Amino acid sequence: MKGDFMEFVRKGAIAPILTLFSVLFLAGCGGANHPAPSTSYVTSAIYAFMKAVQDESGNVTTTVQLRDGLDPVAARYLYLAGGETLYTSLDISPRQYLSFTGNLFDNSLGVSQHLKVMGARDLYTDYFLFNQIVLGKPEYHSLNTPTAGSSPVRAYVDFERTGNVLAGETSIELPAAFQILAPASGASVTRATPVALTWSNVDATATMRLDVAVICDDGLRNTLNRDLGADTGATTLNSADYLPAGVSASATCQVAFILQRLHSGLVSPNFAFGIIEGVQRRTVQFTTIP
Amino acid sequence: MDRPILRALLSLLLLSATHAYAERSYVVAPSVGVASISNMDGYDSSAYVRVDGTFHPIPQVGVGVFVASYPGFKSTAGNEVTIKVNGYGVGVTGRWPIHPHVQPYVRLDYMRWDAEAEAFNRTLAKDNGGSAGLALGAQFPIRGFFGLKAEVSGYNNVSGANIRQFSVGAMFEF
Repeated sequence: MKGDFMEFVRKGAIAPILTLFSVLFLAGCGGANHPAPSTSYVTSAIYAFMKAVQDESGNVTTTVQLRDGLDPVAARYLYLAGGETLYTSLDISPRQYLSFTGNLFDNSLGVSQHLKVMGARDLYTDYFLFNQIVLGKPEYHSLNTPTAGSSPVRAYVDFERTGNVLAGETSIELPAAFQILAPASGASVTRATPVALTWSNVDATATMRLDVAVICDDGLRNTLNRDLGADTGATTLNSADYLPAGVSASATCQVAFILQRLHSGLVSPNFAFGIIEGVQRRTVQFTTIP
Repeated sequence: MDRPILRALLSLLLLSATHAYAERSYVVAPSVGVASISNMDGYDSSAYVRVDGTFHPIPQVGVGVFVASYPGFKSTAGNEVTIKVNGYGVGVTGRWPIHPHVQPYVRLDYMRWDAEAEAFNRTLAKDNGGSAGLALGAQFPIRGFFGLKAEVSGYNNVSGANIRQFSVGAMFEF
């Protein structure tokens, strides 16, 4: 028996097993960032980060991240468990949709058509030219269509906890719509020419943010996120601001300017902390040539 | 009064009583059907079952009671909401025996209903009330006490919905 064991060790078969154990041990130690069930936290220990984005189509995409801390890198992301649900709606709160007594057929239509149950996905950013997905960090999303003629639109989120208790009503009024005036969609711009980005319907009460995505025909890609500050209706970017470092001098690049007008607010005080952003987002794509 | 006249009146009375008794009947009619909502879009039709019990003191007129159950009007878009309706009530039926095997009828009734909306694995809300109904149909006596029936009917404002329905069923007349 002892001889068999020594033979086993001598042949080096134990090394892979030790390696496997080490990997499993390290995986266990690294659990601080693993997603955790929402049921493990009271509402006042949850940090909620929400965004309601209205795009050119008029539809509003709402996303919610629930975490156990402020830091998006260090915090654990929470996934909904135990039947807990995130609801979204526009202009009428989920609480109103769910609280009715008579006229069941009419009122239930509202629940059916306008109240959305948020679905889960991994942290997702749509840069139009490509998507960025961070695995293992759950976020929740839904798509709502505003009623025709409803302006401004108010986006609502509520968090239904165990026992059908709505515990986190949060809302934000979306900023006014705008259109990108320049550059023109599909334009070709030389690298040496600064790109003037202008847009309509300036709203001095809002702030602007610009996300840029670039993908070049030499295979390089880049993203840029820039706060533009108060809404002035214009900004100018040089190609050096957004082209990928090390891009070939002869490369042609597809560029997407994702311009966002923001309103910000705080989430329900039932949460530990969090913010909600109401966003008008418009996108223009063009080509940068040498 | 002359004895012949008295005898004749007595005979008429007995005859009419015997005749009336002979034509008094009870009808039990289970049926199944499809019900839809006419005043709003957004719901699928629901199946339903219904049992009527009607007493006819004369063949042309009946008074009855009924129970009905609609297991679910389901919403067609977005979240699935199901509305169940159960009801019972009373009604008056008039029928015309125009043919030994065809008897059109009309029925006015009143249904007390209980409605319940369910979604997200729970009851959202309940409601109850009463609605008048109108039915047009035909009974088809086939053999002995057995027959078939078919009818269209409707109830307005059953928790906001105007229900229109069609059913077929059996009838047993005793």
